[in-house]
Amino acid sequence: MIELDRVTKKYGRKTVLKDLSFTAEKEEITCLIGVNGAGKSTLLKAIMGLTPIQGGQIRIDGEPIGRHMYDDKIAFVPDTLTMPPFMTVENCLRFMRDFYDRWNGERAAHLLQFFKLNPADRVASLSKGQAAKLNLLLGLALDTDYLLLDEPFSGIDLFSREQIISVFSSELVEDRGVLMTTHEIEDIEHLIDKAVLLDQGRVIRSIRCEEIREREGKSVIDVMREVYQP
Amino acid sequence: MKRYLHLVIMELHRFWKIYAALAALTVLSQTAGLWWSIRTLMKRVHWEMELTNLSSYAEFANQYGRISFMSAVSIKEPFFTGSVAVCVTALLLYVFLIWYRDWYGKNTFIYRLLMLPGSRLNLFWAKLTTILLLSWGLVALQIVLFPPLMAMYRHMVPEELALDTSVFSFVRHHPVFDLLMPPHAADFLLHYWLGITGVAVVFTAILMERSFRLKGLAAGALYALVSGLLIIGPVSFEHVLYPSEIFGLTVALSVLLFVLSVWISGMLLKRKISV
Amino acid sequence: MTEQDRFDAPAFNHREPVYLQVVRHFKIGIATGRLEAGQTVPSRRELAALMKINPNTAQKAYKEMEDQGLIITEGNAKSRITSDEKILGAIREELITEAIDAFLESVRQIGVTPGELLDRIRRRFERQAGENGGHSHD
Repeated sequence: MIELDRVTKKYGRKTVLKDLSFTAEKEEITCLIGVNGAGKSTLLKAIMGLTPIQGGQIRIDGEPIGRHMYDDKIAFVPDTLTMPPFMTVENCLRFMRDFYDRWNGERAAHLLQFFKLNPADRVASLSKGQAAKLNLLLGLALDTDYLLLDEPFSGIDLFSREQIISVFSSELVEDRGVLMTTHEIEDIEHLIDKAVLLDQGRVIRSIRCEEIREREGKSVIDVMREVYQP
Repeated sequence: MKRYLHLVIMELHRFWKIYAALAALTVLSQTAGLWWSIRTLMKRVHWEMELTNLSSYAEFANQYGRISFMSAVSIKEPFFTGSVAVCVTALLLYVFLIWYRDWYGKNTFIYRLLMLPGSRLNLFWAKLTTILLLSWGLVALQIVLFPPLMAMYRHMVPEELALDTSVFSFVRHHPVFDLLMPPHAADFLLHYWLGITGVAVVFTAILMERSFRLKGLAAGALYALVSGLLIIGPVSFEHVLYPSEIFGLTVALSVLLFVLSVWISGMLLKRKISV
Repeated sequence: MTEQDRFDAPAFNHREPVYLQVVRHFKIGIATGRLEAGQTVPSRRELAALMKINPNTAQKAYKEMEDQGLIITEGNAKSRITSDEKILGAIREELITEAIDAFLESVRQIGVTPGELLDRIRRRFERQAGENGGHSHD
């Protein structure tokens, strides 16, 4: 389980995350929802140890994040492809293989085919959709317990998006805990187990989607409307 | 160790195009420069000989002295040491860019680097090693270049006028080359040790800026300044201290600064760095 | 009919639990013959991929179906749709009743007598059967 315990983060004088707490369980898909600038990306980066926090604690399966976790515990797919433009797709895969012990080459090859990516293409020449798929591949092919995704659907064409969404119904996420942020909730509402609604750096509601549907007959979007536009 | 090596290879690979350009520049510039230099020189010699009615090169040599390799080189000086200046500037710039390109490149590669398993200090060591190897590569190129250049000199300058100099002697007496590739092992090691320390200090300042932005920039600049003073400091006491004491102090302070820089950088990378 | 065809579902309603919609989809399949009695059902992982749902949802749906007796699991073998006539019959009943309730709810406000209603239904039914019958000979 990924636990955020009263986490506070400031950029200079601006407090982006205020005393924020929530959990994301393993083998579940949790979605962080909030308007732009609500701190969702920052939150994921903080969990991943890419930016420091000023208060509170972040624990992954009980321990604070440490560099030994990057291999087998947690992987991050940022909102842009973070590979140098001159590298080819093949190079990127080789790069991951060289540095990570738990790189699953078979799965990478399979995903390469599934996403129809050409190994010889340079990163600089990939379309937005292709870059997003490669980005996702780099995270999925690591055998980690948890996967963080920052806006995996943002600015992607419809068909690429459908392909990416289908990943969430597959065994690729089955045994993992997935924590993602997105604006396009309509496309994936039926896929997520839990939604955490953020506003101005705080968690204002945390809902289990099927429960809300069963008990109150409301969709996640309905709840969002209640919360953000009362 | 394996990760460190992979990083070094990757860093070297990303720079190879510019590096090849620098190498090509050096070779072409120095060859062409020397050729042009000697031609100009010989023209002047002939002109002078006509003017003063000298009939042989030997007479010229008697009157005006021989023409050393050093003077042959310096006629069109910018072409010779100019190429060295360009290379040095490029590498000095790269000391900064080797970090900043990871943040400001089109695809912020720094995310990927910081998420690699293993110690984040590997990034520091790999970049430091890269700068060192790049420098030594150019030095090696220069060393390899001198013999052919000297051969060209001996070919173009008549025997009676030429002065036999060794590469060793030329380098020793040339201020720029004596600094960058001193012919004595001890000097070479000292110069490059101080260079490495300097790079480590700059890296630390960069990481301070990347961790704390404006405040970090100020802190980093201050750190670099103080370090610089500490390194140069002992030398300025040449009237008060013996040379061996100056040497000892310089080495001791630089070791201290190096260790301190590595320690601070490690801590920043682990806990304070922010994308 | 491919696996995909058998389990293809229309878009999900987000105001109703997804797992219950999956269960209903199975019930409709059984009632219409798309899914046969005794037929094996996909694993939860396969079902998730086929219906494009979260594997947890597939899990929940299967559990619900097992609780309702729609699906039988014997040991390590693949689960099967029940062959129990009583249950199959009950499903049919349930779906018809649901449809009738929904229909009645929608015409209640308009106000029609049961007699008029039944008459209209019969005529409509016959006309549609006629149209379909005609077309089926093309």
